[in-house]
Amino acid sequence: MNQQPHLNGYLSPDHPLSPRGLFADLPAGIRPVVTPKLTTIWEQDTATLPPALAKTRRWYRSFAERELRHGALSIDAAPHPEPGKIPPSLAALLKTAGREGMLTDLLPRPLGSASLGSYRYPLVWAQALRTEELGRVCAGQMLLLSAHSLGVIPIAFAGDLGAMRRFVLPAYRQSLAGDPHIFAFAITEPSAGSDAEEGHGASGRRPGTVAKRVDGGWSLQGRKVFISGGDIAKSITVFAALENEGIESWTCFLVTSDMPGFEVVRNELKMGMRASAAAEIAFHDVFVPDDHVIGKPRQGWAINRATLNASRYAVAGMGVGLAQGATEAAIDFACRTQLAGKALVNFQEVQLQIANMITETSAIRGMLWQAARKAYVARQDRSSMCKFHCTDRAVRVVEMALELMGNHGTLHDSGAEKIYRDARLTQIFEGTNQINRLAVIEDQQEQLLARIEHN
Amino acid sequence: MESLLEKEDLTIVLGEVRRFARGVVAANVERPEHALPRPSLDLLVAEATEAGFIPEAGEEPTGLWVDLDDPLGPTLSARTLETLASVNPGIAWTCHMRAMPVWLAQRLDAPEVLEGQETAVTLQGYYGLGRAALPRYLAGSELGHDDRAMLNDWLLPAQHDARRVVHAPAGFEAVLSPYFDGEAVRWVRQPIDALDPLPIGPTLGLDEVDAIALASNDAGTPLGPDDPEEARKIFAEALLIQSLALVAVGLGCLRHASELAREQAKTRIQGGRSIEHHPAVQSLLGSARTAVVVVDALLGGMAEGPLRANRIGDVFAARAEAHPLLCRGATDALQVFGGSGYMQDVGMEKALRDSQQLRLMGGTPGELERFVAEWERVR
Repeated sequence: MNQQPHLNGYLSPDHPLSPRGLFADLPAGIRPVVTPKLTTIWEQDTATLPPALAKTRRWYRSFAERELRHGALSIDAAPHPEPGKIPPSLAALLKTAGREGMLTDLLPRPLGSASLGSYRYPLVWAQALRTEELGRVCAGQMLLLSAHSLGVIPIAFAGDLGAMRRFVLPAYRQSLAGDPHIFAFAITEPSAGSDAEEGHGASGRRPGTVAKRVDGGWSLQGRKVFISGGDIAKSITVFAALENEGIESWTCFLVTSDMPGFEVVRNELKMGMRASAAAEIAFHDVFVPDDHVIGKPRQGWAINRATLNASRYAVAGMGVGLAQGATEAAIDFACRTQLAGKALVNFQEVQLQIANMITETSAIRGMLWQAARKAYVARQDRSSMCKFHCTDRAVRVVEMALELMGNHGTLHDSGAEKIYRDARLTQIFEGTNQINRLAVIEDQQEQLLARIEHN
Repeated sequence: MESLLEKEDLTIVLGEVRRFARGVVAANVERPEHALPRPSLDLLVAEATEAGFIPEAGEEPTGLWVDLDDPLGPTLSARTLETLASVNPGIAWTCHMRAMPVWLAQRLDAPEVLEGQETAVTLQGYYGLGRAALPRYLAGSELGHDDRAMLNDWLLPAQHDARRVVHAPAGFEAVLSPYFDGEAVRWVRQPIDALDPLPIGPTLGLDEVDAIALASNDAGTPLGPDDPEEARKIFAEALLIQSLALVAVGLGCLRHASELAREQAKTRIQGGRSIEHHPAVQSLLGSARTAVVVVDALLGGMAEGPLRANRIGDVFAARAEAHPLLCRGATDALQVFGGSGYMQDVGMEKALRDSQQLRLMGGTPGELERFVAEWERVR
């Protein structure tokens, strides 16, 4: 006889046939093998991480719950801020994030805030954990705090220790002292779109942002669009072609927002991820001194591609976090909503939907972690596979959550509709998912050509 | 039944609707990032009424959902909504919501419900679509205790403080909603002030429409025929009309998004040529266009007249298939634009949000499929 509460269609945990008690009489040596501990999937997954990364994941979750949760819906519903007018709540968040090391975790202590233990593993793995945990709570605030890292990575990949010392370390010290110094990454141009993210398209393109040689440096002219955090960044890694040359001459310049001729033209009105502005920025003969060239002239395309190969793991992590957030919103709804005297979670069709969401989310997390744990070298094919597949499946999971919640899911307070609007961006930025599919094939090219010849 | 309408009549009327949509409505909604101000919306609705697209109370109403006994009547209404939605889905939905009380008042033989306060009809139950109880009720099966409890709670969830969400034209003052009295679905008209209205902030889509959460009670004079069979038919017909409206508005929305995407693909240059030549973009355009063609065919079947309650299984099945297609088409059309598609001033993100909103109103595809399964079993 069932003693304990149980969901409709299931035996109570104390029933003799329930999986909970089923193995109790098996031999002592076998019992631990067939009787898992009762823990959440999150705890189970965290336990599979190396201890340093498990600790890092717990830190990200605790920060997100403490600092991002309360403002997630209100910030999303607020009007878009004008350039340079960041809302006080987000300014406070950036300060806190800076002080607690959330803006400096690309480098290990004492240069940055990452633990030395986590540095034994690929950096992209920790970054994917970060975007997952922050994105699970609020993808807009996650982007506000994380697009910053995208602006720093080109400096690291240029392999220029001098530039790290001149630009990154002082900025990191500023942030840790509570004066956030934000970086941004600027590649996309008004007429370019995916050309900035894919070699074949780029080869035939006339660049729109151009650097002209002048005494002691370079003069930048042109525009960049959809620059995450471009409105508040103090330092921007800007990619520009050299005068009268094609995109193969792309060079990475560090532009600071106080340089004369730099302008934030406007912030876009976005569908979602509203806590982070997508800015249009303009360069009106901005003088950039020679020591602000990141790497060497004409290395920009390589630095850009290396940056994207690393950062696409983080976008995949956003997908996992958004799927997780949607799943939790749907489960919460199913447990608190009553229909005909029963919580919705008692209905089999609801149970099936929840099982699908949990499983899809676990599957993309597994794919990402599997790739990221070996990503000491950030492979283009692996990072692009993770980016497009995790984000496509994440949007599908969010749609499932909306479906479960029905017309309640359309309400802002449900949280799910925001997650849907946020998630849709992950299929577009850092290369549309179509471009990322092509990137997988580009990386497989030699093998495919060999098979053609073999046949 | 012989049609009083000729196919040429449809062409003429829909031509007028098209001229109205492109000449009058489009001028008001050319900036999709700005929600249409209430006075402009009221003016548009007044003009649509004046033009005869929205019926008014009276002896000879014309417009949406008026000639449903005519074989071509449902098609005319559905295609009218589709045409309006190809310019703005929210305005099309508003027109539908303005027309519904006129149809229902006539069907309930209760013209008094159109007097006084501006009334909206809502069919949105508290959650879902009444699970298996609804098809059993509509098929005339004997209902068990659980079925009655489900129908009662779905339509009138007073016992656990749940609220129904109503998406209706801005400023409506009363709501005409169904409830289950243990034997049949009846109707009651109530001022929304009596239902503790809670305005809801922004919703996923249909920015032009208000969303309000209402408490439930059955205070008021029951409306509708005494005959339970006739009451069942009226409720089924109301659900049919709503299904037609949701799919028609969704189709108009996607038709527009698909055309915008095609134009974008023609003019946008990447890799040295317009992106319409890239197979990756062609797949997206093809997906959007395929969804338009397939849903157009589905809507054609759904709208075959005259409107008959016993077609509800087929109509729900078609709607269950249509909405995922519409959403897929809308998201693929947006993807053609890349980053700019995500920005509000382009209008593609609104098309996607509207498509998703329509998928989730009045029963989701999964709920419709479960309805169909039970309907097939019991009818």
